[in-house]
Amino acid sequence: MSGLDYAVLFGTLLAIALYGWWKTRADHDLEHYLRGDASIRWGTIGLSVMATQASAVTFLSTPGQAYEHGMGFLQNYFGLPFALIVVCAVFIPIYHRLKVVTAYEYLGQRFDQKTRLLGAFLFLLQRGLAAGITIYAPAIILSALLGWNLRLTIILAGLFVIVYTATGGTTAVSHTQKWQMLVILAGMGVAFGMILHRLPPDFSFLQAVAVAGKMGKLDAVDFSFDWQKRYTFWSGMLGGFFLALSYFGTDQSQVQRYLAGGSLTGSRLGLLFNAVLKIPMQFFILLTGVMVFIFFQFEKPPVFFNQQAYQRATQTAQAGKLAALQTRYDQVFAQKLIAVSGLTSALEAQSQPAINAATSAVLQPQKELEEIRGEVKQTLKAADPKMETNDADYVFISFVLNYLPHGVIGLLIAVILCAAMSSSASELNALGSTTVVDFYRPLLHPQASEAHQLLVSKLLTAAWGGVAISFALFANLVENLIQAINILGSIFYGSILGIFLVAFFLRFVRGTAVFFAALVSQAVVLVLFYGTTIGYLWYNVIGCVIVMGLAALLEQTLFRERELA
Amino acid sequence: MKMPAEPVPLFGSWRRAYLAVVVFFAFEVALFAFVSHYFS
Repeated sequence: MSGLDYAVLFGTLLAIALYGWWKTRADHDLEHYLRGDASIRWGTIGLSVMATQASAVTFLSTPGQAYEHGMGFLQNYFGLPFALIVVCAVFIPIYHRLKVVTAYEYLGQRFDQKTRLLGAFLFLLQRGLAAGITIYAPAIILSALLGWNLRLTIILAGLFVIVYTATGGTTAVSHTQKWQMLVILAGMGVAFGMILHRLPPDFSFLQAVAVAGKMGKLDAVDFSFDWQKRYTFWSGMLGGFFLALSYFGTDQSQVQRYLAGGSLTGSRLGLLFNAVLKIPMQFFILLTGVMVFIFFQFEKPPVFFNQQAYQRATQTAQAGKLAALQTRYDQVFAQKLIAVSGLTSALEAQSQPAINAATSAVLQPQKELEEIRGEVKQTLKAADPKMETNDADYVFISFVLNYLPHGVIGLLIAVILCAAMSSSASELNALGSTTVVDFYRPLLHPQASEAHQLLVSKLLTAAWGGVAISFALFANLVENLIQAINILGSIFYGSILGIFLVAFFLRFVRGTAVFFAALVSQAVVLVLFYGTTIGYLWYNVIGCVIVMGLAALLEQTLFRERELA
Repeated sequence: MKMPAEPVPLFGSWRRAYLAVVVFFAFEVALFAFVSHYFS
């Protein structure tokens, strides 16, 4: 990175953080700190909700997913518009009517204190862990590629977020997220344009799309019924619906975003903004990954994208084997380069037999290259058994650092850090608020003054930041970062969502029944996670269905008599 | 659940706004399926 990159990077981050501080500098109101103020309009809410969901891993992992597996990941979001409609129609009116600060306050009013605490506890558990990954994810990758110190990167990124989140609360988070999201969208637009610009001069965007299609990278919709496949239309519609319903309806890091501003219309419009734009945005990010794949049809990609790890392995006894694999890789890539030119010509000629033959001629060396990459990963593992051999998260950022001009590199690192900071800010804001509103205030200090609660809220927000940083410092790179966050969410979301759906739709069920049903459901999901290979999106459905079914059953049998007595 | 009466920009009612989201989604999926099929 050059001085220009650092100027763009730190200029962007500091300007946004200072804006957040400036907007809330004279605000010492507890209500504003927890709920936001009336100046927050629907556009800000919409961008804030989008920024909360789009963490750094969205921009690091998603293009890498598309590079390796194509556009299928898009289906993960198919249930989202429907979930947001349900949240707008059912959840939001109730939250507004009861004027709750956290979603779990509603559980206390509808059921009892123990169910409220269970919901809040499950949220704190999963979101507290996820907050660590949110900070860790960009830090591990940026430190590896830019030579930054990992621990220092984690601590500095975390502290930066803690300062403006703890001091400004919900209002600061919403206003900073608006600008962070605009920087993200602008940065990704610039990146996409630069990738197209870097393609060969006589190779058009349509030709790029055609070649990607022939190489199986554009299959965005899979209607097959296969429980073992992670992403199909059906798992996306059903599992994705429950995941999104739980995330947007019951996860305080999102609930706090759309309740900010206090207007029912503002909350609904902010969510519908996401219902319309989320899928196109994900499509665009995945397409960016596909275009990076196309770019690397003409430019030889590294045999392993985490080059620092690869270079370390070349200093071990595996060096000879790696060199031999590299030679084979270079030879096969040269063959494929010729085959890709043949496919391009065949597509231009629009001759179906020629296109079929040319496609086979490309797919054969492509398969061989993937096999060589597999062998390289095994060799890297032999060189260092602790090495993470999934390099998908390094694909996009490697492209940015090696092929984009200075200034744009700084902008895209700013995009990744803006995304990390916006998600972390929502998480810390929600963790701090939930701890104060659902635990500290009712259990420890019911008579606390507003000033005291404001001070405790700020301290707890900072403390949760400390927890997230500590977790990030001790985390290890998991298979794929965006999947790790979704899997973690799916393990807990089904049970939490089940509690809320019982609250809304099964009016005869009371607290004790739903409390025990949620405990059983959580235990079953954990058994499924450790003992089966079911796609993780299904945990959301299974967990939710168990809570609803079992709560109704328990209410009608075991707890009916007890509560009547 | 009865929704409170409130002005809804552009669509007039929330039901129409929700319907518009569903129609847009159906259009998107059809487009993705078509593009996948056309370029495969």
